[in-house]
Amino acid sequence: MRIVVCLKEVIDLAQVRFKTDGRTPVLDGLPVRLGAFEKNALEEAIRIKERLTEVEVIALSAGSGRLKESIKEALAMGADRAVLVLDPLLEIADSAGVARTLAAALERIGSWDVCLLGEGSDDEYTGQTPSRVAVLLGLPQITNVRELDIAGDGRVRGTRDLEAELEVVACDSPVVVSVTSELNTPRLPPLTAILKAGRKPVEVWTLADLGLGPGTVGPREAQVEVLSNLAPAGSRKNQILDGDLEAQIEELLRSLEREGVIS
Amino acid sequence: MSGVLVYSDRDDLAHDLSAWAAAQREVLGEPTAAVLGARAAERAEACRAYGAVRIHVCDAPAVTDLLDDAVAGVLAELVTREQISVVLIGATRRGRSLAPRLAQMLEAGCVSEAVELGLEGGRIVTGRYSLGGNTISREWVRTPIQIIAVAPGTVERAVPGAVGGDLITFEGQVNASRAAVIERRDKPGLETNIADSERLVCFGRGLASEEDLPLVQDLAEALGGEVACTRPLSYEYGWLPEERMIGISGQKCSPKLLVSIGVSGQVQHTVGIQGAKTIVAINTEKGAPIFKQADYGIVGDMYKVVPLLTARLRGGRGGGAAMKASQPQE
Repeated sequence: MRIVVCLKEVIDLAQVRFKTDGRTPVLDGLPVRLGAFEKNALEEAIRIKERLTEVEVIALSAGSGRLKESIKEALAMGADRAVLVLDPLLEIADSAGVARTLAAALERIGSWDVCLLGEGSDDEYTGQTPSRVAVLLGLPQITNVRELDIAGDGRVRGTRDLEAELEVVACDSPVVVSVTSELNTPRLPPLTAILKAGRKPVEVWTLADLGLGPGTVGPREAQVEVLSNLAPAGSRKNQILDGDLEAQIEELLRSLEREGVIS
Repeated sequence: MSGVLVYSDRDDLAHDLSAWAAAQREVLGEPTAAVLGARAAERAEACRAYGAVRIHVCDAPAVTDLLDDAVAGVLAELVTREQISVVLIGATRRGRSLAPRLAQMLEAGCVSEAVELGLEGGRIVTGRYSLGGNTISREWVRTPIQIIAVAPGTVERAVPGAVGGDLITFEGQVNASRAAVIERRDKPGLETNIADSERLVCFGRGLASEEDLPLVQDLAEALGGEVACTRPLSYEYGWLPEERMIGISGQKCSPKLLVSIGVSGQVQHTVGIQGAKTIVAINTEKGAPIFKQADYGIVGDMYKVVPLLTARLRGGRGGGAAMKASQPQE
């Protein structure tokens, strides 16, 4: 059995700072790492590998040259090998462009049974890639999966986490599966695994290798145009109360009554 | 533009979006809707009061389970046949994965969870959370067909109007999903809808122990509200069920009053409280980011502040019972 896990590299969102206007994000020079949902997907693939015999886990990612470094974490966690599609165009591609790239790479990898992705990414959380990849490959999808069971014969059972219910969906492979963070707790690779990760095979492809390029992936092909991307304008009162604690509470209750939010 | 198609697996969202589309009819064209799945005819009848001029009804067994590929197949055929240019989908969890499936089938651009929806210069402009909730990305879909999944609560709650709109039975091809639902179970502990609560008390890691939960529960009770928490308290510690978790991956709430206790104010959480009318923050750290999101802040130890606040709300002054008679409880 072969499982391909699609991973996205995201900036460290806790380190996002803003220009003096307080609204324009400054992203230059921020460190990047593999996204959290993707690690859940990878962890699950590795657990399946540990449970069943003859499972190969491939980490697939598309993005910038920095991936060569960040993919080592996936290899240290236990992926057998990595395939990277590197191209500057991918840094500015929209969901459709990324999905096209991943789908082409999945076809080039050849036969596989399950493609695992995160239900969304830490940064944009649009969650479009799994569905789009599935359509491009003509495959069914099981999304929002919080429990996953893959039998040796390739039958896949995913428990979907919906608002009010859990829905168990079964499907023959190959299938595209997106996972939630409740699925598992990703392992922290031991130092020996980190040291060995550098020796695992990493194949690097370009968009051209996949028959893609500026006419299919890139800003001109973007289906969604961003008009602005700013922090919301602050509208809170930001009033820190002072005086002794009882006085603060009295003032707070007076304010809340005045605003009509308590009765 | 030649028309809007509205669909949601949650009927109330479909009604809200129908009413919104009907109000924009001059710009966006005819509003239509699709009602799929179990009891579709009956549910379509209820949809007639929300402005759609045609309601397509499909209760074929192949769509009963509302799996993405089967539903997307029906909607794609409707879009093509009816020359629809805008599809509005309720951004439930099903809707969030259906929308991009449909978009890819139609080679269309898609916004998968709009939290703002408006018209500017004759085109639909949406806003969605970006950069982990730090920012709102305002964008428009450039493709001839636009697929937009709209988060619950984004457009006004619709009120039923005159009953109109023709019911049309879907006659096209319905392809069964290649997946199958083999079991459904209700989520355990589903007891409240935080998203609809008027008053919330939300706690974070500042609460030291599960045994201290009554502290926040008492305050919530005194306010006539519900208890909620941040992600780690639910997913990591399991102190509250996940439907009480507020944040980008949990509930988005819009209460009149939210009292935030011992919450640092990471953006992944505060995305979920932006709809609150008034926010009170209680935290020992003066520099905690939550104070930037709050209207009123008390810098102090929650174990001292919260009991006093609760007692005062219950009618006592500083924990005494003197005010009880003059301040009856709700």
